Amino acid sequence: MITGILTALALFSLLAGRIPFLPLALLSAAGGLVLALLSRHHSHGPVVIDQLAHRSALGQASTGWKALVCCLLLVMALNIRHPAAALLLGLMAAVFTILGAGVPLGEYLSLLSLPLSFLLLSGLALLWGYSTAPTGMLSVPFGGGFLTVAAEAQTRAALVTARSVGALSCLYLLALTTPLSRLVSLLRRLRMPEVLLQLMTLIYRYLFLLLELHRTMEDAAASRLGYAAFPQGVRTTGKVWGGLLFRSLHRTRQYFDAMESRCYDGRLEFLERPLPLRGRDLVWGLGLMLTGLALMVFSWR
Amino acid sequence: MSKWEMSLLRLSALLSGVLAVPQTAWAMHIMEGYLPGSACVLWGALCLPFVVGGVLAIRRTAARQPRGMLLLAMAGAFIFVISSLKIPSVTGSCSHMTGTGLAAILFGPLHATVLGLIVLLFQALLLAHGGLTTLGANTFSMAVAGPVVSWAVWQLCRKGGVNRKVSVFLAAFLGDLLTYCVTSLQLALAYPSPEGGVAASAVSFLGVFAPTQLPLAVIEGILTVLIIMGMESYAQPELREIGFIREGA
Repeated sequence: MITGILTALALFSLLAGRIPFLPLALLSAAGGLVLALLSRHHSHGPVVIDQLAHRSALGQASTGWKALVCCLLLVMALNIRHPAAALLLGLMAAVFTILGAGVPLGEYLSLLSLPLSFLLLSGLALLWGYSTAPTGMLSVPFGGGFLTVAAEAQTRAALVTARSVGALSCLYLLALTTPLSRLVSLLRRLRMPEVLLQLMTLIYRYLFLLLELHRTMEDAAASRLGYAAFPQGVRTTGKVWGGLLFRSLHRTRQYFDAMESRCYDGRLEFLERPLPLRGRDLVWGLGLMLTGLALMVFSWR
Repeated sequence: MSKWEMSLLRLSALLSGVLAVPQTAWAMHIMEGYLPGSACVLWGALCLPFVVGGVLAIRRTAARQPRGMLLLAMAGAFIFVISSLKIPSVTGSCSHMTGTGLAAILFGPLHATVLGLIVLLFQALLLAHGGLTTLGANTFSMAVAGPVVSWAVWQLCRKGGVNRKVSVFLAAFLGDLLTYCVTSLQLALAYPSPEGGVAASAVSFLGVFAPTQLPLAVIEGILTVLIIMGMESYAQPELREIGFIREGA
């Protein structure tokens, strides 16, 4: 609800004075409503993205190529100088992720809604300034002076927000098509320090175990009315998490024994099927990058 | 639950009741694409010495006791899990904590930096929270500045003989608070306000996020105290192993 109102407010101050009042008000209200509806049921944890990545139609494409394309697209997104071009780049990446990688549209939008509301909130800070005279596109009397929205602040906020949306969908292009374990093995080929990679591999494996364990503990606590009131809720959360940390540290003893009995000597070795660069991956990657490059160069003029 | 804890809880409930805006408040990270390229590179470069130091420290730990590696990994997974879970706050809002204060208290600031870096990378890729281009800036605020302050406060309080719970609370609370201030400053440096410059812009970013971040810092402090207390009563051997409790203490 509040997300919707804030979104509407951010959209309103972003475009105030640029388009007539009635369409502006309607647009802001509609934007707020859509985001409020989308962000209502975002109960997705890390499991959702991980599952989507494992199920992706681009799962067999070369990891290095996907990472390269995504990173270059991110660099382009940062260097675009016009909001429309940044949004177009984002739209292109999003359409490709949805159609090319087979991510369901609903999931994609709901994943996008959360960072979007945060983005618009930061946009408010970029938009509103304090001055002694009622200048700019909008101004509200506040404590002896005025809270104002300057025209250049609007331009800048629009550019920053659009850029961020564009970059986000480029990030999703990588995150929703590539399981994390594959990225870790890519980092290994890039000669990152071995301890770092080991930690990442272990953390990635433990994370889902802990999530499962936590759900069980939380259900048990909830069924005993552990979250019935706010002070109780904080206390229960502290206890559940303390128990979780204890149980997880305790488990490492068993894991270590199991690993040591299989000759663990400080190195984790995994066999992996190499993923060669295929022709069609080359085609879509180059297509995306060339379009991105064209958008970037076009936005500079 | 002692009288003192009860009053602490009451105070926190009051504070969040006054301040909490009922909306989704992620532990504050800078979103993907929000910073210009030069700022991304700059903050990444600033983190580098801490990350290298952390990797060296962890390598030493791993060489000394191979199980230390697993304990660290488990702690990293734990930080990720709690930073991806809701913590209770009033009016149905949900917030998330950083957890790096806890890691700094348990393992020290250098280990916390590396754990924080990995957690941030995983958050960007598994939760779409934060981002790859802003990884450097987020690492600096959440995994370098926060843990260093948490650890310093924790050491100071221990030297000064402050009550254990108070010092854990202060360490986690101030660490979280500093993370939020540094993030606001990073945003302000990248986007100074047209009239007032960096300072005015910093105030405006601090103001926009204060309603969610202040109660969050208080709650993070309380939860860290509760977690450490719980572990001290049940997990003495594990705490001894990571060197949190000295032998014979």
